[in-house]
Amino acid sequence: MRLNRKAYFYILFFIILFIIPVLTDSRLILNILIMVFFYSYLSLAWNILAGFAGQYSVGHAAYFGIGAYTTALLYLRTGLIPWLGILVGAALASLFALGISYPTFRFGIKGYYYILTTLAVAEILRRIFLYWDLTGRADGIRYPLEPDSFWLFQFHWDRTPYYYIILVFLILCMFISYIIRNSQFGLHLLAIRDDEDAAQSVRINTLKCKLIAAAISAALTAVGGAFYAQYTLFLEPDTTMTLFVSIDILLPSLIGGVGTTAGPLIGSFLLTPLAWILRIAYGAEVLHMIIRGVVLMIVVALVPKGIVGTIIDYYIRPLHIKR
Amino acid sequence: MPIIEHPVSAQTLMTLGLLLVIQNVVIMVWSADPRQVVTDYAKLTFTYGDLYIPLPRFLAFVVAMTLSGILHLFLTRTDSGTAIRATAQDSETAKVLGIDVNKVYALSFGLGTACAAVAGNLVSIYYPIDPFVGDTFLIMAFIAIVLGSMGNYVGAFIAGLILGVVEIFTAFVLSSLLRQVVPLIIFLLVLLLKPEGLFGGRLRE
Repeated sequence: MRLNRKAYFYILFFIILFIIPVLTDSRLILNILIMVFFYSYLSLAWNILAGFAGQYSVGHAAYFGIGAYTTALLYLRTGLIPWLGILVGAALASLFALGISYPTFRFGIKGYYYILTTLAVAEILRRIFLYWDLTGRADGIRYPLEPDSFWLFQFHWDRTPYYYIILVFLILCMFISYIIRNSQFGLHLLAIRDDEDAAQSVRINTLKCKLIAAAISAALTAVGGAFYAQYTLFLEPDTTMTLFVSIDILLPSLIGGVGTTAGPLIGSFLLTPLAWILRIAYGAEVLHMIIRGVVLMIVVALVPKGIVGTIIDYYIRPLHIKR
Repeated sequence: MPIIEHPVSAQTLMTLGLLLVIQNVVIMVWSADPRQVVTDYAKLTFTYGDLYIPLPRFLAFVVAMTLSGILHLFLTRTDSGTAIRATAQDSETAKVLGIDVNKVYALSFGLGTACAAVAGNLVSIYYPIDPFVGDTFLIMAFIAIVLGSMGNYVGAFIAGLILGVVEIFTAFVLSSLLRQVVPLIIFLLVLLLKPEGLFGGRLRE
């Protein structure tokens, strides 16, 4: 009964979102919503590894960068259309995540040390991209401008195609999250998050589960990176792959509620428009970065479970107990 | 609940938030332009045999060493220092023995911050500084701590020296763009193979 109501709510919500571009052609509103969906999407992808499996990664910028650069380079060097490039990027990011995660998880790196490991990996990759001729060094990669085309994934004046593409990505990502959350695999991940030793003692293959979660999370993040590449048509390591990109990815989840499906969405709907308004009001990145830092600190200190997590704790769980 | 009682991952995120705030307040007030402190001795060098040693860097070295020495004396010879070491070793027992653990955390956090600030001062005399200058050093500091065994400050000191040498050699042999890559790879290897660090100690969490 409850599940149905939730599903109806989501369907209604997404129908409204689908109608919005029909009602308005304001580039500002569409741009803001695109960014809202974009960060919801990335945060949901991060959430699969951090929220479900409990492995807090602060290095998702690496997967993001791999997705973005692979798509861009394949298009520039071989002319492969971005839609296929995205898939290659996602596969590469998965492989990279597996390569990094296997030794990390195999040697039992957790918690604080996992944060440091992911941070270091992302930083190594950023510095290699800054050094590597293939990735355009610090100059970055600029796309040649093509006429608007769905196949080439480039649109210039009209924002509507980007809007629908990222909205579909977001819905797919929510669907994947939902399926994982309600599968046996998802339960295994939650068990690992809550108590890894206990999970292992009931014969859950914790290493394998964590690896699969990392690979899925990395692939989805890489797709987000590819969207970013097609959206901005310009890539450089210092804006695409820094620690702050990783923070942007995890912040909506932290605000909304780590480990929930609705959390990242709510977090991004609150944070991203705020960031845009502040950027317009102040005319620079500075003010909204400050707010972002303040929000991060407040959330971590006062509402560590995020909005959704807190609501569940105070309203929904007690109701269940009463019944 | 005070932040110190949260899990370490939450504390890490908290400090990252603080970093965002401070960096951007600095940009707001003083802009993001790189600056340098220009002193009379900025370009002075002295030679020792075949070695050319820039005076500002040498001064930074001397001050850093002196400060490390003072810190060592503080941690080993004073009551507060002993309390810090006791808390690091076993906070529960320290509490039982009447040490105000939260005060110790506050003191050591403040002390660490102050030392980092001195390091920032020293850097400004030979290195162009901008609001993001700390990021590079921050990661190197993490590496030094883990390499030198968490909680073992002598280990961190030695690890810091090793890292500095490795970094400069990488810059010299490979490329200055890759100078931090090799230390980071060493860091990853140590994390994987000897997570308690090179100099003994214990794991947190």
